[in-house]
Amino acid sequence: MLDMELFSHGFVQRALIAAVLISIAAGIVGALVVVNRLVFMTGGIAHTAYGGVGTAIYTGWPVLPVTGVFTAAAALLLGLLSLRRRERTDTLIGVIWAAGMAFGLIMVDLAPGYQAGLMTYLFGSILAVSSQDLWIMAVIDVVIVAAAMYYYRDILSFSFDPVFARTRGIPVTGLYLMLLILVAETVVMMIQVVGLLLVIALLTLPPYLAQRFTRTLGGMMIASGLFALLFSLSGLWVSYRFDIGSGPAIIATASVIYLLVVGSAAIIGRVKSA
Amino acid sequence: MTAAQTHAAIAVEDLRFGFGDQPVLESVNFRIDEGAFTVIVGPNGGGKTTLLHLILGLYRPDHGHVRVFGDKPGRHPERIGYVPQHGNLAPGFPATVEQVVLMGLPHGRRHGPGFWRDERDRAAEAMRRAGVSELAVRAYGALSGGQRQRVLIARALITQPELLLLDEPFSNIDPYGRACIHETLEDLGQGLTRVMVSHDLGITRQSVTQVLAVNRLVLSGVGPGITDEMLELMYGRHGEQCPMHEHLMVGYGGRD
Repeated sequence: MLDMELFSHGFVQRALIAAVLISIAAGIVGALVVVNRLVFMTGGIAHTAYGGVGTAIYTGWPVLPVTGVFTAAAALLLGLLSLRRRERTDTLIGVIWAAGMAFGLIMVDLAPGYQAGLMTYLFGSILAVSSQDLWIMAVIDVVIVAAAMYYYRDILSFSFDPVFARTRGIPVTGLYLMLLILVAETVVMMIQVVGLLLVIALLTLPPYLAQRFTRTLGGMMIASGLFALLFSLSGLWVSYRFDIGSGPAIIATASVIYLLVVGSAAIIGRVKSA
Repeated sequence: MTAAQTHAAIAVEDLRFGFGDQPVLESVNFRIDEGAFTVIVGPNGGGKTTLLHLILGLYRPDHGHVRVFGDKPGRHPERIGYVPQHGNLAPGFPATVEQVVLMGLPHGRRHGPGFWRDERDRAAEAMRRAGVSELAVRAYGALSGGQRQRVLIARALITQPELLLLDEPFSNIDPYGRACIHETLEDLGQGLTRVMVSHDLGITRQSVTQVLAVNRLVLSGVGPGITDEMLELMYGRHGEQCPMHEHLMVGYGGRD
């Protein structure tokens, strides 16, 4: 089992703090992504983030800030295009998804020297998080929590019924673009922890589970945050115990817990109705 | 107050609107008086919902004017209650009935995750008027179609609007639910201007004071009856021998 000496390592402490920080963002933003059916959009934004990672590696600038700005710009562009051509939204997402990813790969290819760190951003490595990264993640969390609390009523109304929300004078377009930028920043802070390929899993599995147990949007945000934390911590333990990559371990653990919960709920339902 | 007394609730002049090159509404002129119970009828795709959205200010006319309480649409959210089709809303959305009703409050200076005492009192009053008080703590997603529709009516009533716009409140609702909604609408009664879209001609009742037949053009008639011109506008010309003719004439009390 866990030995206490493990926690004396700085990188382990940082990993645990990172798990808490991403769970806060994943809970709030994941709930909004799921109720607004923005999962595919989030996938597109996540993959354009790779363009940001490539740019950072090519220029040698710090990864998190560069990717944060790059991804927010891409999310804004995607949001504005999707508003103009609503019926073409899924195609646009597909184009930006592929283009962002390709751009990132080209930048990495052009970057001088051997890029060992590349895999980190595809599959994540929570154990490689630096103190500086933690500060950036904490700032992003503060922004997300503040925005979600301040605009809670408007977000609730807009998520439930955007057309009606407009008749109430709620600035629906602005909120939609804000939500996409929050998605972009959440993706950026999660890339290092679970990796680009698994970001979607950590933004959707916790809210899907949370939705089963909650009756309010706020409750769903908190519950999905707690599920995300449970998944991250148990995944980290699995990663340590079986010596496998942290990103895949977190998502594998999440999937198993998800199946257990959904499966047992189905069985309980059967037994009750029998 | 004076503005409300001197103006029609809704006045539409020479309106034209389309999506791209596709004309949806043309040369539309009508007026809805305060206190009227107006039913908008017409075939699917005829422009009924679009007309409602123009009145709400969700679209801008390509030509002509829409005036609501003598002003541009969208200026007075608190005076207008809007009830969309319930079927369009996300199932399984995490919200209680009370919260859905609270969403009817206009965008204002109040922010933050909670709702205020006075707002919750207003929600309680709206739920009472719509007959859904006992559902307050239920999850919206767990309700039947008829119950959801009445919750959306309560959401529209929370501001105590002078004008209520309903978009096909009876679609996909069983007969019992329809009767309940009818009763609710009748009870809301005097003083409230009601405009209801319906593709079912059978809903025209005694309490209806005006019918608008919409199929790209709009014909307006006094009272609940549907005229021959309206039927022709909506469904084309049908001869005396055509079963459609008899169905329309007898079934819906046409020929006013």
